[in-house]
Amino acid sequence: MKVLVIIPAYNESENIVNTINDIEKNCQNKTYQLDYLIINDGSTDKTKEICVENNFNVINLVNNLGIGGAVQTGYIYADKNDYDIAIQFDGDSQHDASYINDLVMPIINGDVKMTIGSRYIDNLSEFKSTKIRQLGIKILSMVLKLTTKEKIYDVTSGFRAVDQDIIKLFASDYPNDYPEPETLVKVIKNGYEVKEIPVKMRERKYGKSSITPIKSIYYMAKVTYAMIVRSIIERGNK
Amino acid sequence: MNLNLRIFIILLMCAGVYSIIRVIKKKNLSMKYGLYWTTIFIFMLILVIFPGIVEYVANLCGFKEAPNMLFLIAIFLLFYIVFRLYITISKLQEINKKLVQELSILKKDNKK
Repeated sequence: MKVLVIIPAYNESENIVNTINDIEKNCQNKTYQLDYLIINDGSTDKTKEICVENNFNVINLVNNLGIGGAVQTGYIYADKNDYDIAIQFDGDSQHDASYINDLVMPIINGDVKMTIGSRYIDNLSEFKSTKIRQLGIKILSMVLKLTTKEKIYDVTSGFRAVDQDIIKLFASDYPNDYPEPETLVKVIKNGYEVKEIPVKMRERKYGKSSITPIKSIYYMAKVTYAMIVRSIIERGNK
Repeated sequence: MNLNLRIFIILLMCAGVYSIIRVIKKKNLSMKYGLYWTTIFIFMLILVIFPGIVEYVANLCGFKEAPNMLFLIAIFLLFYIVFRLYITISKLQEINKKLVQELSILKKDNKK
């Protein structure tokens, strides 16, 4: 079993070393091979230099592609190098690598094809994001329920693991911006089962989130639209 | 239509066709899109030279004023062209993304 942790990073020079240390600490004593891969999305800070200095396993995108294009590069790499499972893991120290095993095991056992690290089940995570964002996530969760009939709480979580079939699916087609909820629709509409796993998430230490208050209205409109259209165009694939 | 105005529009259309051929020569416009625009200009040229055509068709379709029909056609045509433009841009974005991804993966593999 080969597992690849995909870490999209845009201007994460302050967080990337901690993130990799966190993952390497959790790499040992596993029954499967765990590799990581940083996708440096054309950062303008020292992210690239820091990765080279520390000899990190990294792909430096020659141009900035945005989160979707960056993550997809990881899935293409995973597909080309025959990885059995790919995990998405943010480079901003929000995610906790000790939960990687919890996300991987249900897929190895063949229970489901995709797992999502969730802040909103079992109350494991004290950090749950701001009230207004929680409301937005609740609405998107409802949209997912309406379009796919599946109930998933943390639809925007970027901490997720998928098996080989979904790696191939993502390698061939992946949304460019705000991909998380839309890819859930895609996966479910293609007939794969998704399971939420309780995880702890941290508040990010440095840098700010990519979604500002002004953008949040556009975000909700774009994601809702994308989920509805996605559910229509993927209908025949089940 | 006033004769001076007609001559002015005819000259404008001719200048349009000329500049299209010039940008094609400079390879700033592909032959395919050059054909679109040249067709539009020549079509407008014909209508200016024979304004009777517009009057006749507008009457046939039930427009009160002939220019209304021209405006309607022009707006629809422009909508269509802009829409096609968006499609082309989206395609280019996809191709560009693919190129960046494949090149970046290649560069990594080369370093090993």
